[in-house]
Amino acid sequence: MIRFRPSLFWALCAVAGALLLAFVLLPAASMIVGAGAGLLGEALRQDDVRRSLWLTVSAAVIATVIGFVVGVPLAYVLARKEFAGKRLVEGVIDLPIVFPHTAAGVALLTVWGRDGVVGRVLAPLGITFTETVAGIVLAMLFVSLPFLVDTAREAFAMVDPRYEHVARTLGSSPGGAFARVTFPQAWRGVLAGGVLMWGRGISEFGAVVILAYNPKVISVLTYERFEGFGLRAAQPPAVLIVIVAFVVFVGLRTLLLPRRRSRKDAA
Amino acid sequence: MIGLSGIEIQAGGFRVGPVDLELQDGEYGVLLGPSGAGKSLVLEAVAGVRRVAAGAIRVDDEDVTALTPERRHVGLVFQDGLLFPHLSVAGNVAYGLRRAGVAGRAARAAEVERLADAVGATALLKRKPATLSGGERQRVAVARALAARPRALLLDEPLSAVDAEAREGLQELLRRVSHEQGLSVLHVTHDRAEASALADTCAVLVGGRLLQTGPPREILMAPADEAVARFVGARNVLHGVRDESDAHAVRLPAGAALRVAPALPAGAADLVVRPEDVKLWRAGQGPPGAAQVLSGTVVGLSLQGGFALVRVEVPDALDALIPARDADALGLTLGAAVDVGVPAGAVHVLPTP
Repeated sequence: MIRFRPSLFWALCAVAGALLLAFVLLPAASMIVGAGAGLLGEALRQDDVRRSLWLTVSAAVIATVIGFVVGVPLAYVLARKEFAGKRLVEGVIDLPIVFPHTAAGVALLTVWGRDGVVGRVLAPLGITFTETVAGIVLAMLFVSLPFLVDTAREAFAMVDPRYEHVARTLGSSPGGAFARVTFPQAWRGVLAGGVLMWGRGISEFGAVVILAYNPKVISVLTYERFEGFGLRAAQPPAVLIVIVAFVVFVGLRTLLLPRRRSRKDAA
Repeated sequence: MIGLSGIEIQAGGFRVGPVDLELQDGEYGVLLGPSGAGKSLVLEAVAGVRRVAAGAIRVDDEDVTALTPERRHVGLVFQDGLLFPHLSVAGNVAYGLRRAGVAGRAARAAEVERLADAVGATALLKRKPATLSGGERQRVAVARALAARPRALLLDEPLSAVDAEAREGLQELLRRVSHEQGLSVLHVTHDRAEASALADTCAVLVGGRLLQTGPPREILMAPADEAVARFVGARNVLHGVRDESDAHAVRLPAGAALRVAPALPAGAADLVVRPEDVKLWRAGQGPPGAAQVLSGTVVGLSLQGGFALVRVEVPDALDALIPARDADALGLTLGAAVDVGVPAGAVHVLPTP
């Protein structure tokens, strides 16, 4: 039987990993334990918390679906084509990552607000983005789109383009080759990008609070309760969204992403 | 039929061409060249996945230069098979059937069976590509390409990732497919032995330039220039000057003289001698009266499979490839004196540039 031989290198890796895990898990665990099951049940019975949870989750889903429709084609183009200005396009897509999120909210307001360049045109049609669900979706979309585009681009880049060449010689159009050959090989990576985008969306506060304080997403509700009533009042909505996010993240990863095969498995 | 008329391809700073090549129905063409010669670029251009900068491509007398890959009706097989990993073997073979006009699920299933049988892959139909060997993958890739009813078959190093045992079977399969179905095949490889075994017509591409086209034996025995000679394994490329008094003799730099069959004009002469045409005997035992027996010394000796590569100085260096058993019988060692025979008919004179 082969025995695992501990070495200083692996021991250091394990210690670093354990410290990181503790750093991430402790605040979440402490908050959940602090809230207790009673407080959680109480939160679920509160209408504003339930409404806020539903609003947050559904707005993030809508933002992710929109991101999927517009972001996946762009990710595919970035993975497959070389063109003048490609680096610039990639930089622009990643811009929201480095934007302070409150600044992102202000920037969005100058475009989509009632007096913004686009908002001004859409307002007479009854489409507004301030203090509306549409504004929340817009803010979520803006700050989380890079996560989907970047991850999907990497997933497409991992698929050898020669598969598409073969598919084309077998009669597929470019779209057919994408649908029948490339996407079926890249979908897990694209889905991982979607999950990341959704997760980033539900956690957004800065951009949302400037564009649409109301209706309140869970991050805004948590902040408002903390400001108005203190830590104990802020805990239930915070715990709820952390649990939902955790369940969705871990659930999707477990169900949809195959366990990575080790070299030993593959041999 | 595949016809390439002066095609040129630009890939970054690398330019390939002009390439002219014509393969008739059922003709097996091999594009031979070292890595980085631009062979795969030519294949991609014929398949339509790469644009040509100049020239025209014809398939069955139709100019396909401006057509998209799906309208060219050519099959493409890559080195590693590139079977679609998310589909079963049957799914891979069936991929192009609908587009090829095979209607109905039952008809497609029957066609998959027939094609799998033709390439010896019937037992593999339910398996996933990841579970197949290199040779099995290539058989399935050929079946997949044939399913789309191609007018020509393009093969990019199809045997490189296959072990020696499976390679022979695949070579036989590829030849059979080409001849039975009357398909023009353009096969790209860097392997000289593979080219010799398969090609009706061989084209040598080096550094993006097409240097010679012809039957493989002609290219082996009468290379067009030094680059081709060296690439096809003619290790002895000798630069000499025609003897002033004998139009059939060439003086080499170190002092040896070689006789050649054709009468040469005065001046420089470049000669090629294949190592397997160089004969060796023990010193003093060369056939008496032979026109071309030189005295030499063994300065290098290495085993290559069942053969020995022997470098002798006459005093110019010559490589000889002889059966290892003969090398043992001659008792060859470094520094041994030998008689070296180079038949005048085996000395190829390179055309003057």
